[in-house]
Amino acid sequence: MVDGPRGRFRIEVLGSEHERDRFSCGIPDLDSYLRERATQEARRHIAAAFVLLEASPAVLGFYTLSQQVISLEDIPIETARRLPRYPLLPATLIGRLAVDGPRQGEGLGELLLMDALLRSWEAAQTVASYALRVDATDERARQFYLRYDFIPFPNEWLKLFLPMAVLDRLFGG
Amino acid sequence: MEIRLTREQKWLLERAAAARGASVAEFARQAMQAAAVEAVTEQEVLRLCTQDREAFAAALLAPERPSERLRVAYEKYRERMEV
Repeated sequence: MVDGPRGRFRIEVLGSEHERDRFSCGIPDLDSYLRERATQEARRHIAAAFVLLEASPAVLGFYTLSQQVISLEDIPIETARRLPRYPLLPATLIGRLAVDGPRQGEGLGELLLMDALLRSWEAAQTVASYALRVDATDERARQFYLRYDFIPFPNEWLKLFLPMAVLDRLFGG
Repeated sequence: MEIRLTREQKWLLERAAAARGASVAEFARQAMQAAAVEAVTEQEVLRLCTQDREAFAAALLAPERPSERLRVAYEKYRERMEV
């Protein structure tokens, strides 16, 4: 893994100045999402998109965040009583996360994920969210999230979550 | 908004609206609204089986400490990002 000089990357809210025409992560759906739908979904507050940049305005990677509610109806009452909210628990969904093909293998996915975690944790200080959520697209993606403490649901092979309380300890000191 | 319909779709829509005693436009509006709410809710609310709900609640109530790997990733993130 190449780390390169310190402090050379930045992550910004997706804007019209960011070049994404040549972005190609290997999954056509993700490429076309970034090119054609990301701006519109951000404007409609469906999902917010964030892009990874180096020196130029060319997008090296991106991720999206949106709200999700997890329904916990009918869990045992002793458990339900201890939850901060019941039966619907707000969470933050990492909807999409991708790195441009030529830049894969430099640990940029990790940078994007850490930024998503930090940004979600900071937002959760204002608007409550009790977990990060992600739906992995395949086994490779699933392994990626497992490396960073995400927990798979026992019966949903590709669905994972990370309790916000883990991030309280990581970012909160 | 304009929507192109086949003759069959139009005929069905008119019959459905008549059955409800609504105008075609009113029926279409209500049906579209209901379908949209359903689509959005489906996407935004995660429903799980009993075992998954309980596993999730248990993990939330007794969170693990961040792993060494996650801490290292955060340190690297701080080094590699512009301040």
